Amino acid sequence: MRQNYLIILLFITATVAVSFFAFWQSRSYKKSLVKREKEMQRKMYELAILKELGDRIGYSLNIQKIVDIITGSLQQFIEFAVVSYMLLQPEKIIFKVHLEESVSRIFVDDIRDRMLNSLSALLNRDFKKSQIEEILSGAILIEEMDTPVRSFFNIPLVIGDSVEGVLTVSHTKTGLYKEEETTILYKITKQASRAVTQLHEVIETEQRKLNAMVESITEGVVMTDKDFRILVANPAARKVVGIEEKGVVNIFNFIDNLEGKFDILGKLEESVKLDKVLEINEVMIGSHYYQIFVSPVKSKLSTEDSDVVLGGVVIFHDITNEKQVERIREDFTSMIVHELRSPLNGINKMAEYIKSKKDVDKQKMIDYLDQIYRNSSNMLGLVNDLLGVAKLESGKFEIDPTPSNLNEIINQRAAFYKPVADDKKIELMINLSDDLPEKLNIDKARIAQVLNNLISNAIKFTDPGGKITLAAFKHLQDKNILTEAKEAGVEWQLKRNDQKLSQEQDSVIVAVIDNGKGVPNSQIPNLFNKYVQFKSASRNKEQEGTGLGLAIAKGIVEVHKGKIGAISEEGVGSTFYFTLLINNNLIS
Amino acid sequence: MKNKEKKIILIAEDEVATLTVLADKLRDQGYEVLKAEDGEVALQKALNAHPDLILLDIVMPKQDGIKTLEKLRQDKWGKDANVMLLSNLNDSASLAQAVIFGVKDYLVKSDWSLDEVVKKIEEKLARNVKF
Repeated sequence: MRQNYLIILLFITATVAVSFFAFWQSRSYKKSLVKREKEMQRKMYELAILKELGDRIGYSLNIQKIVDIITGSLQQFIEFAVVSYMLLQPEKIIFKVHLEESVSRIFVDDIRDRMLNSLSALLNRDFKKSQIEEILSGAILIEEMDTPVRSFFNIPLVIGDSVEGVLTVSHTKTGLYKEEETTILYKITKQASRAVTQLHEVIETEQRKLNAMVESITEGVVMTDKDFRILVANPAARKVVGIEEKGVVNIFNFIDNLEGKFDILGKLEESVKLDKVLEINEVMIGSHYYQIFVSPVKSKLSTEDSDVVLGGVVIFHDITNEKQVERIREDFTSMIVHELRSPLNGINKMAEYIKSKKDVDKQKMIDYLDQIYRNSSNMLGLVNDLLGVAKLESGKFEIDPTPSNLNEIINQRAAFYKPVADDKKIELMINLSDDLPEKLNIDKARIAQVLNNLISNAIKFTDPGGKITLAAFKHLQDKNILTEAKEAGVEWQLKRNDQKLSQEQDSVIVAVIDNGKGVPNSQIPNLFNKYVQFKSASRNKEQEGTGLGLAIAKGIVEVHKGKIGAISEEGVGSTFYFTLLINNNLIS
Repeated sequence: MKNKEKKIILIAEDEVATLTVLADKLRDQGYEVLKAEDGEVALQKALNAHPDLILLDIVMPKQDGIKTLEKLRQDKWGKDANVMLLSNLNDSASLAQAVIFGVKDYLVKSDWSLDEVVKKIEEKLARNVKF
């Protein structure tokens, strides 16, 4: 019986114990479940807020706007009476205070001082209260309230590595702002900061690219803000006004150095005022000509905003070269006109004279006809040469290459010029290598024309008693041309190996070598330039010819895929040479 | 005026046909004519012969008309010498320079006929009669 009691008691005890244990366990489960659920909720909330903030901040770079968005959303998850921020500006500190509940002036001042202190501490700098620009919003200030700041939390606003300001929440209640709230505030500001920092980096990279571009651009670029303070003046722009050495430049440097040739300030004002791109042509600054563009610089701050004028930009486009080319062309044209009009005028006056006379002396008549014939021949020659040059330049110059014997052409030319050379007491010699190809695929008549030109020039510029040699020798690609000439017994003025010429494909080099007065080195590059040659020919009546011969010779040789050149030494003589490829693949 | 001394005219012109015919025409009119085909010869002949009038072409070899004029004006006689420029239409820059050297008369070559040039020369010489 006693045993039974004992068993029953034991059973009850066990049941109670188990029940009790079960009860406890379920209670503790429930507690942790609730806690987890709460945490989950908070996390979700946090995420939602962060997302919302992210969306609203978007790609804005305006820090104040971002901070405004953050402060505007804060009341959703943190309790505060006042949210405020201080932002550092170049010349002031913005202090924006939003009152969720009414507080006193003393409260606000207290926050202000605390925030300023923390800014000072963060930046290790002293700030004056006078620099602060306060903006109040939200509930009204009530002076009678004397509840002090009892809860206060301050976080720095950091973009990149620099502190831009502080954000603060504060309350009249005590004991707020524990870990939970502060953590989320940190997270929010950190997220915003990271977004802005990344955007800054992108922009900086872009700006660096843009700067590099503006710096290296050959156009002079000057950009100003709307008060015409210079923001950018690239090296090319500085060069325009000769202030390359100056570090920081201002608009007055430009005004002074432009010396009234271009009213930079006036044009900028005009352009911004009229909202128009101005184009000023042919402004001469220093020794250069510029085409100048002045344009307003505008930007839309957001899609709804209308254009905002940010400033103006001036672009200096150097047109000196174009002007020069234009002038050369004009000179060339007016010279041609002169060269044609002058002999034509002579012909015209002679005809007039003969017509007006009843009887003209026979000898005079012959003289006149002779002169008329000479003038008209010169004019015809010039017209032909001009047409030749024009054809060559337009690529319409046609050649008729056929396998031809070069030796024969050279010998014929020598025979043709022999009497003229004899007349002037000049020795005309021929030096042709034995290994020249039998036939070359060339236009016989055109190559003869080139030789005519070179030989007649040589005779023209060689004094009586001088010597002219017509030489031709074979050149193999990459063989030293100097050695090759020496072996062929060609005595020309080439003293050092000519790399470029040596690199020429297998070819025959034809040279006309004289021991005449020679050409100054500086003039050699101009010899084949029609403009320069024509000019000097027209100023120098002693030497007959249009001066276009070499330009035409160059054209003919080039159509044959060859090269033409000159070597000269003043007082020693000149060599004019051209190359003819052994295999030029020209088809007639 | 049969007792009139023959007036001397120097023509400086590099275009031989123009030079020849102008000389012939002026000789026909009773002038004594000197010819020069470049600026250097022109200056030399002018300083030697002290012509009553110099017809000076602008574009000439060796020494152009303006340079010749400049040198002429440095001479005691040449500073007051009578000069008329022979020009082309596109020589306006040179004409402007010539004015600096006191030369205001010019003939645009392609404009005049031989008779007109004779008339212009006669007028010019009549205006500059020295007593």
